[in-house]
Amino acid sequence: MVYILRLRRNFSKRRNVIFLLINLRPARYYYGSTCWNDAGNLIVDANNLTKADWVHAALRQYEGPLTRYAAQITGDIDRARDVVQDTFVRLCAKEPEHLEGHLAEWLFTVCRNRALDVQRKESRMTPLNEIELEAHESREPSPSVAAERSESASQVLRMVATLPANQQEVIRLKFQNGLSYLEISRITNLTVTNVGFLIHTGIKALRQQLRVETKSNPTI
Amino acid sequence: MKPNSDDPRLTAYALGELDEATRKEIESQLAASEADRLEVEETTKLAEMLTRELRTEPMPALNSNQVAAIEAKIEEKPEGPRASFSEWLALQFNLLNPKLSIFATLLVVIGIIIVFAGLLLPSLSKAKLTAKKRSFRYAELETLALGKNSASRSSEGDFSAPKEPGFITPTISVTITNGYQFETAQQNTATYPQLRENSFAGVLQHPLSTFSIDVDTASYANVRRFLTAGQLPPHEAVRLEEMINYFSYQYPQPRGEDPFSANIEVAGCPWNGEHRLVRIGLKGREIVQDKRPPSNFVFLIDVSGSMEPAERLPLIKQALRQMVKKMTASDRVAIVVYASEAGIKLASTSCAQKEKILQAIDELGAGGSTNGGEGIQGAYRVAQENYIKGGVNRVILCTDGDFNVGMTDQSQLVQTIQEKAKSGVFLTTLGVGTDNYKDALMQMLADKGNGNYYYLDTIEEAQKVLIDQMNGTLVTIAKDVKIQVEFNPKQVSAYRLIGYEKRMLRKEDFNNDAKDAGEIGAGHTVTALYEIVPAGTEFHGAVDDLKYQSPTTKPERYVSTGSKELLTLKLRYKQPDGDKSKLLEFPCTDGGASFGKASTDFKFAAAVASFGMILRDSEFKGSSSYGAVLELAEEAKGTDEAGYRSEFLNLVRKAQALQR
Repeated sequence: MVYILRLRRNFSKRRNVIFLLINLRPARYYYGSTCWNDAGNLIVDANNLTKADWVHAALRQYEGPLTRYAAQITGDIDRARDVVQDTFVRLCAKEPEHLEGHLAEWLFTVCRNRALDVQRKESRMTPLNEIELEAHESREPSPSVAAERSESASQVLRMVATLPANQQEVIRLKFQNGLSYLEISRITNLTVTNVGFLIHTGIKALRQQLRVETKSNPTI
Repeated sequence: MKPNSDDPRLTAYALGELDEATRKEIESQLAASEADRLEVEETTKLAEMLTRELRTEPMPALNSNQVAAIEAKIEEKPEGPRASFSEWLALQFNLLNPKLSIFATLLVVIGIIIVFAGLLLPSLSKAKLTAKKRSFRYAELETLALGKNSASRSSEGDFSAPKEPGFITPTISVTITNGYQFETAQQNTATYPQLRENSFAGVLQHPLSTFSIDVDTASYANVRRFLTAGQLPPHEAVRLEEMINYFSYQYPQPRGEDPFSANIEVAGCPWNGEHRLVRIGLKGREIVQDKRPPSNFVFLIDVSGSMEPAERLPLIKQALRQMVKKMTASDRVAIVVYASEAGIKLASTSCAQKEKILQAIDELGAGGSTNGGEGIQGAYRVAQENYIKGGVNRVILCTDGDFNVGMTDQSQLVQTIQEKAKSGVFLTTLGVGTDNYKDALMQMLADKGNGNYYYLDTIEEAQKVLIDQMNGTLVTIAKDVKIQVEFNPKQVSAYRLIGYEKRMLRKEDFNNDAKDAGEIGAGHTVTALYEIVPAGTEFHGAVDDLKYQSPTTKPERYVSTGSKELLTLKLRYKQPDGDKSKLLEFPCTDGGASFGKASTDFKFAAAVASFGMILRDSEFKGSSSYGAVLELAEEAKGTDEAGYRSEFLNLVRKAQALQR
């Protein structure tokens, strides 16, 4: 439990707030009215949270997962970054109250739609010059190629990469990002039953593969 | 009941996704069926494994420009906390506690209600609602636990304090990280050294101004990259001397034996009518392309994973291919790469075998983390093994500057380079990429390695640096070139060197041959501008007048010559392989020309300086404006065969549009 005492140094400047923290874990980092301790946990005085704090906190928590997710769809990290930038720019136009409780769902939905837009647009475009060509050659490999190449990736990750794209997507949303069936159904525009079925099918396939691997190679 | 492994509800049960009723139903089914229980157990285990393993997949972060673009879009609520009525009341009554201020709002609401009477109940409940909304808790955000602190995002964090007066030492933050934390730490790691702009110095207190020449142009390319991306550059990224020196000026070729000519021009100052502007221009001797001495180049190429995007390794490869095509049979090229491990990709090969070199360049591909340190040592070793006496010996480092593994101790790296520079092998750094780009590191390495530093943002820039100006970039004709200007207090009351902040030297350093300074390449031009406050013009420095010395008597102490000269320019340089410096002196008198009478090159350099000061939001920018810069640069564009000056005009227009 963190206790926060506030003193105001200057009444006209709301941002100049001195935090005194009476806590076993000392707080170290300040940004505006936001404060982090050295474990990286956000300690905030909710009354003092500004819109900027809210966006920063959302960035901190979701930029990585969203970029990872968008890269799966676009197949390209730089395009994924653009998509995520756009997602957060849209977040800036929202009010925190309106997204309370479903921030993650909103972010993933917007990110997915943008990524699909970009992917559709890109697939219609043809490379312009030599640099473009080289960039294409070095782009993310297709799932099956990726599965063969990435020997360092764990066995189960390689197996996931062999699943159909729609199963991979819901499995990643579920296990990588900890979203519920209901949230996934809203993000992907599928019914909850449909999501449940895709995850179930994917898991069944993975279990079968694992059994085969374990039999052929008992050390695993 | 027979096992039913194809029931999605069993999976949903294992994942905790069922509603109360269905859960009860499945639980009774499980109690009856051993196979179903095994089924659920297996799913649970797999789910744990998936959760664990999938979360190890890398999470790329946004780059700093993207974060900045997002931050620029944050709109505070119209009824933001500061503007709220209760806040205003708190200010009026100096109420310490925001809860009291809410209470005050309530009181006022009640007051109004009493005045208007009759609507007491509904209004009160409405006021309570407002209060509840204000204490809205962003519950989701309070538990965030990512291993990152806010300092890495704030702009102050990356810069160091000046270590000695007048000279700012850049510090570079190098992140030693691994796995997913590495990915997180990548954001906003582009670092720029902090610069405190040169201010006016009184001639009586500081009659000498000493600095090292600088032919780097990276800052201009970097500024262009920002503006082209629709963003104003950060102030620290704008270095005025590098902006001015991006352009070449028509100074006369040197006559006699000295490797460069010196030219001084004085005219009015466009952004301050009372001041004068002095331009000092050096021109290095041109070398005909075919007459270039035999060269021994070692390309040291960063092939780490971060180099993969098209504007990095592919750009470098394309540039190097073009460069190799222009080389002659007396030149030698070696390629050393570094990523997780450093290695010699191509042993030193004569350019008679161009195909072999081109093939080695084609085979380069990005992957792995970076150990710049080991690569640098390897490259210098190869260069020394193939040293050409009397020729050009140079390591060309191509990287996004992200040294994240191995020899990451900056001082150690810099020391290595400094030692190697003494052996006659010079260093050129070519920077690429946008995020986690280490401007400061690249600049320092080139500086210590007796070399120069370029930022390649486009293939056109690579063409300019490596092909069109190949000799200037690669053939050094004089090293440790220092400038010292002595101002005449009879003519000048104060002066200000525009730019060159990171190149300032102490006055004693001028005659000290052990003190390192800048190099000048074949055909290079170096331009420096001084803004001068003429004697008789009122000047208030940063310090008060002295109490025990009268300002009217002081000039007599200094000026015994009664000279009409404005200043004397003193230069020191060493031959590329020499270690004793030669002194040159050039006195100059102000002919009183107005700015309108100045040469076109003078006007163009002034326009660039003015633009840079606007971008830096300099306190000395005077009446500088985008409009004035455009007018000046348009007039001074000249023939502009290469199109660089037209491009400058476009950049000014872009910046003007962005500022609005």
